[in-house]
Amino acid sequence: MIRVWLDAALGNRYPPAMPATGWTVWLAAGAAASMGFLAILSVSVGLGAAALSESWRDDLARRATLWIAPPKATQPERMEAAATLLRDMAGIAAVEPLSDDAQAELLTPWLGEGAPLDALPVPLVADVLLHDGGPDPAQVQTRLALAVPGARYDGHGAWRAPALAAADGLGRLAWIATALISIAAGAMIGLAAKASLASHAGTLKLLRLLGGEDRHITGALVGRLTLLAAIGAFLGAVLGLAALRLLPTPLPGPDGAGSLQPSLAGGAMLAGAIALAAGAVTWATARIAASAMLRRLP
Amino acid sequence: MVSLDEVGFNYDGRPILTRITASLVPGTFNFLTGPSGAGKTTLLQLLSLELRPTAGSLSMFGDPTAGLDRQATSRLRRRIGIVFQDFRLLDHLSVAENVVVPLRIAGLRAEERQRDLSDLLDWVGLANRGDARPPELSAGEKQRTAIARAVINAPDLILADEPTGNVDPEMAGKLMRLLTELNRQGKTVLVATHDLGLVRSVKGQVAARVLRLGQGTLSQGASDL
Repeated sequence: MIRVWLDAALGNRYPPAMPATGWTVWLAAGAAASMGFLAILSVSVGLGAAALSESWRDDLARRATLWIAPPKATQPERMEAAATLLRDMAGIAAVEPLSDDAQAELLTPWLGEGAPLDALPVPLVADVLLHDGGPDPAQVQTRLALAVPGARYDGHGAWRAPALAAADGLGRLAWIATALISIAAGAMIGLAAKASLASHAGTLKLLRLLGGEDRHITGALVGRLTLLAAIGAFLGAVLGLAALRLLPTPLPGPDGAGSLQPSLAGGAMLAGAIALAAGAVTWATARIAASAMLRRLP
Repeated sequence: MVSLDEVGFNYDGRPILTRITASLVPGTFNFLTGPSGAGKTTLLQLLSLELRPTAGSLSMFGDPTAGLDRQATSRLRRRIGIVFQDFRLLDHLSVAENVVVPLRIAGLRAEERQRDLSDLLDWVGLANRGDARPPELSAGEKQRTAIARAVINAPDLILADEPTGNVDPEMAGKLMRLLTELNRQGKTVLVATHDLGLVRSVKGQVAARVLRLGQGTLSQGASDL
């Protein structure tokens, strides 16, 4: 049944020079499936890291933090004064002081559940929304320091920059890994194709002796191998996508950016692209190998 | 039709065939005899263009084979039906699919390939084995499949290399009857064999010529029978 389907798909004029089952088929399809699996993982990491980096970069340009140091008694007044000052500055869209609950939630990871925040010298915090990149943080800080004692403006640059660098680095590493996996997988598929061809050298010779022409024999061999590799790579990529779905999202950015799980459409496009790449590598490698093998035959 | 003129073949500098001059007249039945290692298979390989002469000239169907390119070689081979000693069937194909391989190579469509298939399988006694795979066949059935494959595209010349080498005497007789019947239909047949008993049995059925190969040279006659 598989063979009939393959022949119909390929429109082969020649008899299939290799069986549709057996170790040679599993070798070619299995190598391609492994490539598909690894490629989808590395590509997803690359895309996720790139999205995360972009998201953080965007967030850096849109948000800043204002905080007012203790003493507590004067914090509300100083917050109001600082907020008023900031709202009058160009590049500031809004200043939104955090509610007590929001502030408690923010500090929970460090102080634990139910910490007595009223008794602790913690700063009062406001979320500052920016537009057009916001004002220069150093200038804002200078004006705040003169007008509101204990007020501090944090443009997030100090901690976002290393994170951005890390995300960019992770993205670069993922793409390098993708390139290396592609090269290794291409070699692996190529070797599998050559092994498949070598194991059918007798068939090639027979087809030649029965009057077969090189281009048709090559087509009968290469077409089937190519289709098998493409199908194998696609299935491997789908398995990779399924594996990614089982993982938690380890790189959550704002609004879910940086997820390693591509969307359904994105995943399907990736799997299709990987299948095409595997097919192309197999086609080229097998064609070269088959031509070289046929040239040695009478 | 097939003509060898002073043909020689060396392998690794060692002469396998020397100054072979012979011709195969259309419609004749020919035996190529000689002991093992005499060069029978090599001569058949020259005639199927699997090997090229290292000396002399070989003409097939009136045209010299020297200088034939790969495509022309393929076209010429389609006029030859080869029965290999080791059958050379494709194990992943059924008997019927194996038999029609030359028709697929010739570019015939599926319905055209099926036209004469059942008659041919019936003729070689494999009418009920068309769906079987070669590993399921006996040696005799494999050889009959190989014969069917060799003749399905109506070749001008049939080359058979020890076609009875792997079968019992009864099956050998049946196989030879198939080949003699093909000869009666006008095909030129060349059978390489070291079995002189087989040669004697066939000479009773058709006018067969015997070419004897010994020490790389060829002689013609029935003195060894």
